[in-house]
Amino acid sequence: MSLILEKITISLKRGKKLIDGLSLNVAKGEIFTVMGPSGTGKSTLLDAVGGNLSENFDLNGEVTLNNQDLLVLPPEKRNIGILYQDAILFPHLSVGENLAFGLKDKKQGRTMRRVEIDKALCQAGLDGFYDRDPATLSGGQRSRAALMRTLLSQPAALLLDEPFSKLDLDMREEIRSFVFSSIYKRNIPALMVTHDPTDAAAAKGSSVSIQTI
Amino acid sequence: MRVALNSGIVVRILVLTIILGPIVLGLFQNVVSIFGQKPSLEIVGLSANPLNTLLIVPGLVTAVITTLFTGIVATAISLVLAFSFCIIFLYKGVKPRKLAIITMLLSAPHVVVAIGLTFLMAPSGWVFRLFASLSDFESPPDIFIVNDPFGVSLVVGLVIKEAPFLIFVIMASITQIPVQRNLCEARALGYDLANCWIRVIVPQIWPLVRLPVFVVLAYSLANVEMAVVLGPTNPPVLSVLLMRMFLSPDVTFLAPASAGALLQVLLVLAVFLIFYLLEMWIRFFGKMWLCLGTRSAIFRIIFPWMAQFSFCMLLLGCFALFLSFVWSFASHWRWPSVFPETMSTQNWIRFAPDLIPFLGNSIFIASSTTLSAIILAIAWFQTEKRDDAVNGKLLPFAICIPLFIPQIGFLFGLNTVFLKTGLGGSWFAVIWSHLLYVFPYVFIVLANPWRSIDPRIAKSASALGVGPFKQLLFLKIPILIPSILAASAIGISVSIAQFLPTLFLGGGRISTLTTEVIALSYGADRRILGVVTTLQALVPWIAYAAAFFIPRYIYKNRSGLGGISS
Repeated sequence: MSLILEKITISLKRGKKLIDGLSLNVAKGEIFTVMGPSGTGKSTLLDAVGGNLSENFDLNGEVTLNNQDLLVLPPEKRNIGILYQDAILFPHLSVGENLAFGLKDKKQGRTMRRVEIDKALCQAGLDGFYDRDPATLSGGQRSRAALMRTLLSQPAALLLDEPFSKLDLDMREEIRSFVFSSIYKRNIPALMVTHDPTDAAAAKGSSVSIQTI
Repeated sequence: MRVALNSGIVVRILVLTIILGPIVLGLFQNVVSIFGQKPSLEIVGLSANPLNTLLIVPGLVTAVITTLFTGIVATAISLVLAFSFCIIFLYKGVKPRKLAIITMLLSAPHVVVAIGLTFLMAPSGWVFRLFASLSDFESPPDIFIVNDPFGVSLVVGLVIKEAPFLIFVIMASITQIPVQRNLCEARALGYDLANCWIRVIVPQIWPLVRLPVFVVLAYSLANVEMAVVLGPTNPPVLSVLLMRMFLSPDVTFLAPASAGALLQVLLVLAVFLIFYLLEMWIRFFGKMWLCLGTRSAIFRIIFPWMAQFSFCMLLLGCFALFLSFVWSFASHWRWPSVFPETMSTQNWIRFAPDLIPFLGNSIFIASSTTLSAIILAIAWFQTEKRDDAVNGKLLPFAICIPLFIPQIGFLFGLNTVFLKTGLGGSWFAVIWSHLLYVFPYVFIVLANPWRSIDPRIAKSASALGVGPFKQLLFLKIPILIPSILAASAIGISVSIAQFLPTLFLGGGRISTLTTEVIALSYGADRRILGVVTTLQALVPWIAYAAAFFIPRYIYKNRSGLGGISS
């Protein structure tokens, strides 16, 4: 049970290769780090796995999650959560409603759902934030809310796109350990791209460096 | 600094007086007409109370009901179709070919679309010719397809004309939010594109779309030019009923018509209130619905169909315009032929010379109005202070008020005021009344480009010793030529389409292509109607084409100044 990338090659349409034959295997509960300076196509790699690759790219290779071929599926069917460096909380919804938007509808009944969301807010240190306007949150609070929204949708794997690089140094450590421990707890594979070596060290998983080709 | 502030206030007061003054005067004159009745009329034995007279006008209740029905239904359908159409944007981007169709319908005058639709849908129109040639019924069916008593054909006409406007507005609003990022986040949570559109994108752009929707609502509830051609006839919708009363040779209709004009204004305001309450209701329950987290597949199935349907409606509109064009060249085209038997330029040679004066009037009024609007708008922006909160929201809204007030509600009253001051039936009065409708669009189109001129340009110029006026003339205006041309094209297309302002303020002495088309629409030969409407549609199209190509030509070596491709 894991996220497997097999000989992934991404190139610009009629253009240069960004990623050439990358293979990696992310185990359950592992945070796999892809390192590299900006411009090496790290985010493009995550777009490919998440299903958001722009039409300007060609993608070859194979991605499977729990033995299921992902590349034939649209993003919403892949069951993969994404955490961006500056996560968007939908501005027309309150913080709690953003989480409710993420929460799978398997959980039914308004009170039951509300209990679940309050629990998640509490875990993220956002007690009593249900009715808050997302625009009033700090960067760290926003990342935590976005993570909870993603986790409530019960993804089978998680992609982290430089998730801590926009945060202030003093809170980066705290948010990082919160995100990582949440992933360990759910025991799902996570693929992180970053250019910060301390992220890779903290993730304690395997890592690979990609360079400009 | 003080001088700049004062001139700013003067310009704002001047512009607001020009734009809002006529509305206040016209509405006030209505009240005067209702209550200030001359005793001489009472002697003739008329009811003293014009409100009572209004209430016993035959067909008033039906007129109000069809007005509400056509206006509300047309707006609702236009809105749904426009949003459905724009979802294609998320799937694959919009192809230029489809945009061309939208621009074509957007710029075509309302009455031209309406006439085109009669060519298409009337019992002896193209659709029934097609049926007749396929089967074997011999004469046109004896039914009300156009001018049906329920106003269905009016709804079709309004939708075909207003949906492109809303599509245009939605497309422009969509660039204001990070659509791709929103989509990535929402799809990763398990929502398909159609669900993302309705749950994430639409609620975010709604605040930008709301006012244009109200403009569409106001127009659909109170327009005259489409209702005259396509709407029910006996009784017609309220606006047309009132126009007949105002124009009646029997002056005793004047006071009840003025009361009716106020009724029309109140009707529109009441529907605004209902829509506002409806919006709050949808907002409340919509949020609850979003919080349920359902990822239903229903929208993914419905939306592509709806998008196709709205595309078909737009194609239908274009085909209607095309039929006008064909009729203008048809010399023999008898029922039930699907194609004209013979075609020639004979119609144009015969009718065009008589139409030249109308065309000239239309162009003269449109260009004078547009030029005045551009000068006023530039004066406004030139004296604008950047950090002014009132400038931000309130004043731009005030400028758009004419778009929300029914024309029939105040224009006749305004003409009465003008007659008293000796300006009645003058070019000046007609141009002023057109300005109310042209200025808001010119202002909106110019506002953003003007405000986004790089402030360093002005600073560099000042450092070189160039004064503000020279800066305006030799820097800002040349830089903004593409936007000014775009604003001109829109201004011209708005002015060309005006009917009631020309009719009432011109006092019957000033005729344009629009007033001529409507005069001819009461049963004139289709060939001459084809010629007039084609001519009328050509003017805004040429203006749009000029706005598109001229900047490309004059700035072909300046990649920083790109034309209206944006």
